[in-house]
Amino acid sequence: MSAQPLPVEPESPPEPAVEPLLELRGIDVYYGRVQALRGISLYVGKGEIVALIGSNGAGKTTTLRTISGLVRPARGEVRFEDAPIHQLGAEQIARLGIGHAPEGRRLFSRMTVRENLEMGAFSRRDTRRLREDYERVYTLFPRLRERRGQLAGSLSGGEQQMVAIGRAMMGHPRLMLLDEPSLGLSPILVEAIYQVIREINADGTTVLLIEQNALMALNTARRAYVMETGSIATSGPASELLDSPEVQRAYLGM
Amino acid sequence: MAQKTTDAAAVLPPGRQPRLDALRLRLLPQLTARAFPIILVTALVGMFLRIATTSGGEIAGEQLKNGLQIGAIYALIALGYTMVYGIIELINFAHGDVFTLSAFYAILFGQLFGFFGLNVTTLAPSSAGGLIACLLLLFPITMLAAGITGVLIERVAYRRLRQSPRLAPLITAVGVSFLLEGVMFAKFGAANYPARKDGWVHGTAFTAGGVPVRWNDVLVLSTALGLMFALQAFVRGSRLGKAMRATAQDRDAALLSGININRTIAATFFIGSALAGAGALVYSIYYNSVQWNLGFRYGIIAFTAAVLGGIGNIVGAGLGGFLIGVISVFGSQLLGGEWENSIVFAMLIIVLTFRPVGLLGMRVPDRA
Amino acid sequence: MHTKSRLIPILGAVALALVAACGTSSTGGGTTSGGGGLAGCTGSVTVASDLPTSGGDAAIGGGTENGVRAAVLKAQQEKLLGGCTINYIPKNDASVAKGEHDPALGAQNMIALTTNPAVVGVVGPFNSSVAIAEMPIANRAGMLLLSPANTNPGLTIAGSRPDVDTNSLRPTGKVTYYRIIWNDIAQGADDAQISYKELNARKAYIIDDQEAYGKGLADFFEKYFKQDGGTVLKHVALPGTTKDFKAQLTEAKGLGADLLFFGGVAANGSGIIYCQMKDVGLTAKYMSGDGTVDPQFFKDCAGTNGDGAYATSAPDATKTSAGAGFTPLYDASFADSSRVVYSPYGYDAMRIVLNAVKAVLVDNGGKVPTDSASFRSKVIAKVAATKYDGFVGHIEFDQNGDTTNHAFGLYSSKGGQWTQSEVVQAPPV
Ligand SMILES: Nc1ncnc2c1ncn2[C@@H]1O[C@H](COP(=O)(O)OP(=O)(O)O)[C@@H](O)[C@H]1O
Ligand SMILES: [Mg+2]
Repeated sequence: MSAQPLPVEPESPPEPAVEPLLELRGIDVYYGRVQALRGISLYVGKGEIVALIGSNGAGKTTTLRTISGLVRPARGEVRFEDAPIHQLGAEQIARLGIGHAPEGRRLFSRMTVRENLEMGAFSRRDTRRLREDYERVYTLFPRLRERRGQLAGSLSGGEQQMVAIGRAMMGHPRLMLLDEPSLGLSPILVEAIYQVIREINADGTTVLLIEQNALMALNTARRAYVMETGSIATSGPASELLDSPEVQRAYLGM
Repeated sequence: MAQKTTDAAAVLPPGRQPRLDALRLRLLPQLTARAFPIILVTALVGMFLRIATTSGGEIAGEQLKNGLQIGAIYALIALGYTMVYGIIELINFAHGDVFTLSAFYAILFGQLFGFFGLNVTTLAPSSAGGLIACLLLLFPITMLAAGITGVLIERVAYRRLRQSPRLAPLITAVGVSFLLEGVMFAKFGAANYPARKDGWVHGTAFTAGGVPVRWNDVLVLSTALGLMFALQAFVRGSRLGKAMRATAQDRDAALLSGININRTIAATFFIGSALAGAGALVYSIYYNSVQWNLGFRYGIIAFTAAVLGGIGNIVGAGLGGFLIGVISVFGSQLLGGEWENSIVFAMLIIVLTFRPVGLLGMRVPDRA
Repeated sequence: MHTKSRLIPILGAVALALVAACGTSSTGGGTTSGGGGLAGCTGSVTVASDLPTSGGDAAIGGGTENGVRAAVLKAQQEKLLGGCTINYIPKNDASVAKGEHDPALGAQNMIALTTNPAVVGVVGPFNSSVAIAEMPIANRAGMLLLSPANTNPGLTIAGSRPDVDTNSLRPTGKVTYYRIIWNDIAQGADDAQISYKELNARKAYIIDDQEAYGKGLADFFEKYFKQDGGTVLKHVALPGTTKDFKAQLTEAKGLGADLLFFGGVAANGSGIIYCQMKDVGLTAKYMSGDGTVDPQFFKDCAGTNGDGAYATSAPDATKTSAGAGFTPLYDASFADSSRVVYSPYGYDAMRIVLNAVKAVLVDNGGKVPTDSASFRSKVIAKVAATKYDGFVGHIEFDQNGDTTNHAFGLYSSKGGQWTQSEVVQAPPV
């Protein structure tokens, strides 16, 4: 690719305040001939909540799928705990400790809630700690304890989102990728989900989350990246972006 | 987001489900869903009674037994179709030929033992103990060889096409089918190939309601039922079984759960083919000969059985196999044997039209 | 067959020479020997055969083809055409796709033979379904087709079979097709008479294999069995791929059948049916036609299970005085185990063709006619006038191309073999 300068030169990201857990360097992704990501670089520090916002089709989901190994980058590098992971298979990446609650929830709809959680812990052998993790999920989402024998496909949207997050938690990940956890939920449920996200983070899990509706995300995250048509347009501390007039106009509907 | 209303649709990734008018979609299937099994059972009972009144109850009972016995073979083949379709949505046309090939394996292994001084052709019919010893040798080795064949086919012919449009692996499957048939034709000739298992399983086991049930009927039926329930327990309870179900329902989500998709799909082919191998072994004992092109007809009938039972559903495939067996036998007597294939395929069309999810296909609303 | 083909002529010629030298040469195969007026003949004449020689029909078709080859070898050895040489083209109509005789391949073979101007006559085909595909092609090309084994009456008698349009098989209106075996009207009548009178059967359950031969035979059996006074309980047609006949046989048991008649070829289930009759406990007698008299029967129903079935077929010529000389003649060139009932039919069919060719050459002043079309039509005219005493008996043809000889062999199965118990003359039909 020619070294054409980007129309909007992104601000150089601030020096990592904490040790980076995840880092993307110059990621290009294509779907066939169509380029979906153009030179994405970002990092997520240990213990942080980082938000990735942008309008529909900007490439947020593609970014998460690239991290998880569901999509292969044509160029660039994904590093997790300082080791390149973009050559690994998706199931290997999952086993490294990256949990992913994907876009559309993608539950195993003909399995029960309990079985869905069990699948989240598929690659784990430490059955003793496993029990604690079920407890943790059921404590955070008491609804799921009630519905644990029910088929996932028959749950409401909010409950399905809880299962998706719970399933990702069951792998006991160090990094959680959440793709639009609030989509289609009532404001009360959105608040509840975000409360859980903060609690998960407080327990020591790093979080990278995507939202189209940016207000909630920016209020929760420490830092954020704004994506536009496949590249990072802006980034910075969440509080600064909340105050930025451009962001307010484009993503907060102000 | 479109409503997922059928079982088959539930395994499709989002965005690929047909967006159909919800009302039309909900009312008709719900009516037929209830009515279909009732009509089917009523039809079967009616056919049974009709035969009983014209030919006597014992003949009707014997025909029921004949149907269940041939249905057991269909069921064992149908299991592999349903498993593979469930997990990669491929109608594995080569599966029927894996069945035929496995019947040849069963014959060849019998000869192979001869090299080691073990003559199964004389040992098996000599005594019950000899027979059991031969079966204990032949079942695992035939199933293993069949399973490996299935895995090789998947590895060589289907894996690379997994991301291709649906038509590509389908055509490849037809190609593999022709290839296997060609190999068998070249190696074993066109005529029925004798299995040399005369008198392996003989004699009448018991008589139920005037119907003599022979030991080879018992062998075929118990093999099918035993393996079907073992498989069901395996898929419900085991780690690999759960990985299979998860992969079938959502491949990306399975990957994100740390499931090795390639290995899981290979295992599915292994198990499905091994079951066909078990079916092939009991077939070769029961019918005592095999022909290179057997798999075409048996395969397509077994596929119909899988669709009737609800494709992707293990108990459904077994049930479908037995039902197709009984329907085809009853239908042959009532309408004439020339109608047997027509009856089976009319069944397929009726199921696809009125109850596309099959008898045991669940409808899980996905309230997204 | 193909691997042997180079050795066979040499071995055959040597063996024949020895046989001739010893003075035991049979009369079978012809009245003439030596070139009789054709010593000055130059050039060559090409004859052909089209038979199913691989797949499921390999044994029966191959054995028949060997008979044809034996006739060619004998004619070459005795210089039947004097100085002219005889070329022989064997075609195989068994396709890989079908695994047995294939009408589509037969048609393809016939196009190849008729468009080759050198070919003046063809022995074949073996199966009636193939004949239906080949006859119009041969007829348009004015090519003689002389079958050693087709028994479907529709091939020669208009209106005799609802499923065969005899006139469309002869688009030119001329008879160019002949056969040296009786047709299935005679065979069906004969099977019915044997079943009723000799096997004392009264209630028959009929299965056919849906093919032109099998269905035709079964239909005539049904007609004559009823005429003889028997009852036909049911007549079902099952595809040749059927492996499980238990539903039908159980039904037959329920109906109290005392005879199971199968119209079809062994590859389509003759032996399977017989063995499954015992499985379901159907104690009826088993009767079938010439398609069942095939070693395949015992592959599908081996050991003592295969004993006790009946079938009619061409009489075993080697057990008659006319055909006694055939076995040594055949064995001189081919393994005796490959010999089938139709081998002498193959021999006689080819010999009739060659005799006709010889007669044409003699009429033509000892020269090979240059015009292919007129050569072919002259050969047909000579064949039509045949009066020939062969291994299979005396042969003349009626105006439809049928032989006037209606002798049958009644065979029964025992110890893995079909054995002829008697030779019967078909009842007048
Ligand atoms: N599977 C796919 N095939 C082709 N194009 C895709 C695919 N998935 C996404 N895209 C395209 O890539 C771009 C980014 O999509 P996505 O990552 O889903 O954006 P976002 O999550 O920000 O809405 C969009 O233009 C979308 O149309
Ligand atoms: Mg998205």
